[in-house]
Amino acid sequence: MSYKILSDIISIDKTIHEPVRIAILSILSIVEKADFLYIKNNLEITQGNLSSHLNKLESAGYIEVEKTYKGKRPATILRITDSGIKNFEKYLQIMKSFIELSGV
Amino acid sequence: MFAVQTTILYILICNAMKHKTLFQEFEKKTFQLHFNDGIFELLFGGMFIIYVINSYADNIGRENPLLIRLLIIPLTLILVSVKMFITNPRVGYVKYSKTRRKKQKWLLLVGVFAQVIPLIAYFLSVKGIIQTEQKSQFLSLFIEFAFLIIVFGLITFFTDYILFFITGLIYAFGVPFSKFLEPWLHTRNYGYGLISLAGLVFLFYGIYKLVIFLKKYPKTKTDEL
Repeated sequence: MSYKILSDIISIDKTIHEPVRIAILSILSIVEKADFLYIKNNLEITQGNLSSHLNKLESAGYIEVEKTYKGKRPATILRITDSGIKNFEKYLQIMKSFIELSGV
Repeated sequence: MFAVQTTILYILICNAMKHKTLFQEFEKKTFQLHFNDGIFELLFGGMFIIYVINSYADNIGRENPLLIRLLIIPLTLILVSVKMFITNPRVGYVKYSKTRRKKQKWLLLVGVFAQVIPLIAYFLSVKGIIQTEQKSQFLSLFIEFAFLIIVFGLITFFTDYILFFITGLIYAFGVPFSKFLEPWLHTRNYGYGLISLAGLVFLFYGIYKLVIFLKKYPKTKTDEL
């Protein structure tokens, strides 16, 4: 059993396993959708940094990016996908099992 | 590098596993972003100051003190406009979960209830249907006190923002409770003092929060990816 946990940890989803991306998925998992500005304000990171992480999550199919307009201003609306929810929960489960195994 | 990341995440997720509702707490924190602009502090601070000025004008026998109380209307309109057109756009757009949206609907109901019930009570007392004899004065003050605590308590519950409950407490102790103590203390100045002090504190704190908010969340031309 413990070998399985260790092998799960070694093969953990590295797309998710990054602090900023965990935070992004955490926010998107508790709201229905949010725009780029809302995520940026909650995470307090730069626009470029956030864009790079969102691109990685979008490429993996974990988030959906919708480009629209609010009046005349362009807006980027973000939403976690079903695949994103499933893989994020799987990631959390692996980390939970690992922590429980550690006995802390 | 992997070990460092895992350690950081371990600390985060360890807490998550200890507290089953961490994501609920997290959701509250993200929702709090809408209260960081200090607008509610300015609104309640302004209302308290207007109330004290109005009461003072009433005490010195100034005619039409109600006109002072009506200042609450432009104050509210100005601050709501600031929230809608200046501060909220800087927070960004979000569609909250069904649970939060349900809470917001309940909040609206509480707000409507809080306006309608006192109006009905006032109408009934003017028509003489509710008697306000001396012996029932304490009961009406108790009802007013309890009503304020309950309404502001419910607003706090639905918004997860403690300021509303503090406002309710200040109003409850400053108005009906001070009226209740008047026969013994022969003054209501302590109530006026409490409300004016709270009003000043709220006003200054609201201005401070608004300035910090505008600096921290500048107007962005675009939020594009």
